[in-house]
Amino acid sequence: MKKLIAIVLISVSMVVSVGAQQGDWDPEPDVENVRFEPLHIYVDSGDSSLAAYQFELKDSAGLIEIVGVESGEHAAFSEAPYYDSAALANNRIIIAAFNTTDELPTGRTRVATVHLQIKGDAEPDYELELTIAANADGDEIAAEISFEKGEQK
Amino acid sequence: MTENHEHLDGNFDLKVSDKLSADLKGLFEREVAIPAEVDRAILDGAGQRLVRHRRRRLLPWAIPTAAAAVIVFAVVLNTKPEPAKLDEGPSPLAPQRKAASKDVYSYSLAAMVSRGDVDLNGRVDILDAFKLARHIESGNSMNWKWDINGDGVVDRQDVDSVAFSAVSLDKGVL
Repeated sequence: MKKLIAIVLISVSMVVSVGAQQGDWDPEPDVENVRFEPLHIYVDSGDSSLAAYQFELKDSAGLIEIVGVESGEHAAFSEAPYYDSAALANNRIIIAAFNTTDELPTGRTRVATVHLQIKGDAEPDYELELTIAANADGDEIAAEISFEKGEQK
Repeated sequence: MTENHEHLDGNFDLKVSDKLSADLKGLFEREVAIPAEVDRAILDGAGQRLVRHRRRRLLPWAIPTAAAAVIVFAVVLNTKPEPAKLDEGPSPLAPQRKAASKDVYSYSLAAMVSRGDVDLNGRVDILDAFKLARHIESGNSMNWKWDINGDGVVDRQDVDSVAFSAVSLDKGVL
């Protein structure tokens, strides 16, 4: 009986060590602080009307966890944008939206707000890229994308 | 030797007295009565001993069985399912691929993504959804390839399917 218990215990410890090596059971790293921060995303389409956009946001430092996405300020983008729900609890997201009406924003407009949970005291290293910006005819236009950090909680 | 036998045979008297014969008979032929309690106690003791032996016999089987179960458990834990191949395009080998369900699944996904490429620029993005939405609103004739979800009609649900395909985390630029 003692031999059986010893074999089972050794086998279980081997399984645990293999699983830990493969990163399956990695415990959450210890963090001192967790804070929440909204990140406002702006697209500046200049004189052109903005009918569709698509951008990708990522934190290369791996400190953020996306907890929610809020729609834009203009009525054309007031509905929730498209995004992959798998992005929640992740550090990378692709967000897109379009509007087929004639009531479209021009200039700089907030298209979305991404709510983030930031682990630790360090600052995230955001990478933001606008992959699509198009006018009402569906033609791609030159536009700038930027972000502003909101009030931390 | 023969002489010795003859000598012995000649010296011993093999006749036994009747009394000694009766005593010997009484000693060896007598039936000893065993009380039932003693009988039961002996049987119980033997039974317990047999059970202990049976338990001991189980151990040599139990050890390798338990070890094998733990190994199988470890293998199952460490086995990850293979992701479906999304980049696989239409192929002339498609009929043969239908034989394997996994390949059929990856092929149908690839076909769906391909059908989401409304503007035929080689990628699926939000502009495909935008153009499909505009097309539906215009009331123009529909291409059956735009029935992304395969429900027999091209409508807003197909637009959503294209849009969600565009924002899928499986692709991206960063």
